[in-house]
Amino acid sequence: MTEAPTPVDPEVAAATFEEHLLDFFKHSRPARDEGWGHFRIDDLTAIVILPARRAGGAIDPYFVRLGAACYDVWPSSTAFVEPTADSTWTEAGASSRWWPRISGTPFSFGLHNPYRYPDGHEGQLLCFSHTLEYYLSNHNPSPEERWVQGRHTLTATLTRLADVMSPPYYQGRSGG
Amino acid sequence: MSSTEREERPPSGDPGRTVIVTIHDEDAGGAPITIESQPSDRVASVIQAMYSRLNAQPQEGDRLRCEETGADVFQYSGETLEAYAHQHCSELVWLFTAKTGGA
Repeated sequence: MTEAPTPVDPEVAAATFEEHLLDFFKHSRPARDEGWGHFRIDDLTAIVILPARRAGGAIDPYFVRLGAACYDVWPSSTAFVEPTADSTWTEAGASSRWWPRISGTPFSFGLHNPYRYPDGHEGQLLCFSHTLEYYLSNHNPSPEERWVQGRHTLTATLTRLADVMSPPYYQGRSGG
Repeated sequence: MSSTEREERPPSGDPGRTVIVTIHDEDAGGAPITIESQPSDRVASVIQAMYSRLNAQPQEGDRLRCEETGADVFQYSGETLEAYAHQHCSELVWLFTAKTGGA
């Protein structure tokens, strides 16, 4: 069983999160494409606008909430979210147009919604070893799969998402 | 830098000509690394240099792709860089990721 994630010093987490988020948008391959963006909710939370690409070239924008309470000892919490009428964000439900359909990924990856966590709560699980939720869901990664502080950054999280949100893996929105 | 060769390059086949491979580490992020090689060098030698620069050991499940095509690089380990660039990946920009768990 893998060690359970716990929050880290919030000032350290916020500074590291900021540095790595800016690095992603400065250097990464996906962020060179049109449609990417980000804005902050607070020091430990950001919304990333992720442009999914359909096979025909059309773009479907999604919103991904990253939470840095345990970062970067652990990966960021990661969820697809949707805007609400009162200008807040809520996790996208399985039938929401803000929840993507993905199949046949080039690496181990899964989307589960809802997923029942060991503590009893239900929510999304973006199931790959570069999200915090993966380590909260009783997974037991091999050493080469495991998140390593200093080796992985949220670039690992976002580039994997960019890969699966592109052809031929991205299949469109769940809801209309 | 994403171009493959220096601007003032001698004619093809000149042993002094260098080729630059640019590699994005998509696990760690940061600026890409560049590896300078000879056209006659094998792709495998650049891969070996990449692991050394990343201070990483080759592991099952590693992915190394050509940015422009998405094609796996490892399968061309035995080719010379010149042949590889000509036939498979002209920009010589690669994307590296280690194994990912999940499902």
